Amino acid sequence: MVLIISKDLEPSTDKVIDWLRYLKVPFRRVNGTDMLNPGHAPTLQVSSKQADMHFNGEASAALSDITAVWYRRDGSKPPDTQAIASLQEAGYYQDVVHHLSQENAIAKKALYALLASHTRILGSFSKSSVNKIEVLINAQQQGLDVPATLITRSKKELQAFMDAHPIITKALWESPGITIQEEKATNYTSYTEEVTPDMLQAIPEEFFYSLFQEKLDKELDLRVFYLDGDCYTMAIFSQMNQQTKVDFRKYANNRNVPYQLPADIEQLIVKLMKAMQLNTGSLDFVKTRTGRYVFLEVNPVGQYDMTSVPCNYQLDKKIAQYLSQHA
Amino acid sequence: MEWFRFFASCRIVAGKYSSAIYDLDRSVIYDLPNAFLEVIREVEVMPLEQMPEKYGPARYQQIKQFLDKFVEKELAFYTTSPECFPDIDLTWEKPWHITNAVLELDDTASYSFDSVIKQLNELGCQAIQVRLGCNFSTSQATEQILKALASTQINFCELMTPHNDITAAEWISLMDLQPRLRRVYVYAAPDDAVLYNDNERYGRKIVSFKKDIRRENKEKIRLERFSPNILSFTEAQSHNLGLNRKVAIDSQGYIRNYISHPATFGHVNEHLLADVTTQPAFREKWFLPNDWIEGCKDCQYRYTCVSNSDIRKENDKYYKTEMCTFNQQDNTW
Ligand code: SF4
Repeated sequence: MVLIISKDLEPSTDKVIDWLRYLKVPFRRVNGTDMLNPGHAPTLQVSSKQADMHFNGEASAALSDITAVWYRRDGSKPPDTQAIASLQEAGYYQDVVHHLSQENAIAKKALYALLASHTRILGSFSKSSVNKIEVLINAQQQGLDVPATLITRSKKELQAFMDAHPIITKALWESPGITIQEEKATNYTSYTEEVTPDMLQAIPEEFFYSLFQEKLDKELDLRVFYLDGDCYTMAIFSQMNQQTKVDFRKYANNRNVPYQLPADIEQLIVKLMKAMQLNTGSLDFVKTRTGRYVFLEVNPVGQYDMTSVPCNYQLDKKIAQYLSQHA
Repeated sequence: MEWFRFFASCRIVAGKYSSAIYDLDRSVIYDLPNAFLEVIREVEVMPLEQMPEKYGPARYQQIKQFLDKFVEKELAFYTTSPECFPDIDLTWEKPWHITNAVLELDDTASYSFDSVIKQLNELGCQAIQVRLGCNFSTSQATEQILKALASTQINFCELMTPHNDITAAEWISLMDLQPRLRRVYVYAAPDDAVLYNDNERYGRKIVSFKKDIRRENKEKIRLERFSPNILSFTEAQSHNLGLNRKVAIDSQGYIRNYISHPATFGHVNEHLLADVTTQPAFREKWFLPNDWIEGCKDCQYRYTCVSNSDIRKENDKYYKTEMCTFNQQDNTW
């Protein structure tokens, strides 16, 4: 049986499940939030003879039934505090809540570790989000071209960096944005922006940690979906009209077509993913006008539909096949 | 060396008399006179640098201007590495046995709607069109139709109803209650009109038209109905776009390939849809793409045309029983 760990309203999960059904592969889907629900919550047992687990509930599943796991996403929610509602006024209430959520988190981690030691896992429990800069360093060490990068709090250093090439800035973390609640709520989403000399002038001598990178003279954005050693690459002609030149996510209507990466770049991608112990993920590259293939980032649980559909890569089917081959 | 390339999503479809370019990303069709086909085929296999020699400077200038137009329109691009731009694999595959169903419904209670919906859900059906042959009140529509859809994967429901006194506002509140209801078509109405159109909210629409589909169930093929995209384009390569993975059930409960087709494949009270729709006889027409059909195979719209006409075979050739009004030679409809 294929075990799928995901979250509610996750369209790619639904599509892979459609394929599993079609291919008549037995599966069980568990959403991260279900794991905390006592009706479904898995039980773990360790003895000197064996370590075992089983899922409870209607569609119960034992460890020995599970042949492959797809770790897609993992929605979590705060612990159910009904049982401690009477403590709400107590000064230590938050500490109790924190304690309970840590207990949940550790139980889940133990479950994942047990699954990982027992079956083939597509996806990575521990790396659903990665440190962008760590990955950049790793990529550089594997031999991939990366953008010149500066993380600093100093205007002087920024000035020197900017003297060398035009630059952009973006958040260090995967910021979902900030909502500012004034008369009405305004959402500020996080995206890539070019730093202009005017902006530089307005910046104080010292500022909070910020990420700056050389602005690449982009010919194409490349998005690579990586699955178990294979690269499915799409070129995004994001230079089609002025609006999309800095960040293609801001506007649609780009041209998205299949792309064949040079073999040596594909080999480096495989090397990087192996080094990171990832068997799937989405990688972003830029191809510059001078022919550089510059690695930007990897997202272990990224959406791949926008690559799969325009290029007709049938990635849902390929994932289902990967899982069923190990089923 | 620089090369001219169409984007893989911009496809030239050559017709016998005239051709078209389908923009599969933006769902647009451009006319392309056949006179240009030859030169387009030539320039795709030749770097720009070689063109002046091949065509002479004056003709090269013309050709270059012609190619520039495609680039300006964002249908094509110039590249020094054409080997990096492979074509799209046009294989079509979907994990559903049935994708669409047309269900006629009236007050004869000839079959169990609930059971049909359950079966369709099992088969992977994504969209249904319910054609009401008589008046249903909004509460009847809710109880007898929309409730059955809850917790199925059928996420798109179109309702066709005879004109009655239900207002657009009442239909909209029904859509709010069951968001799977996306379209309402009011037929035999006094006017042709768009009563409601909300693209933002699941593409909801309410449209009324004068035609009475109970008397005239043939659908008219019009250029405006074509909206090419990668999914339908790949499907149309090897399948009949209008019939593939569809099933229809008429008001009597008989199973058909499409509601207007004379052939029936048993009664839904006596046979399971899963059994009927997997029979080779039922599926035969799914695998008759326009490429195989006389007339259609010459037509530049053959990979986007949604005609669901029945198909007959005569002397080893296939014909549509309902031919469209498109005159390929004059390019008129
Ligand atoms: S029915 Fe045939 S000829 Fe008519 S538009 Fe469709 S493909 Fe073309």
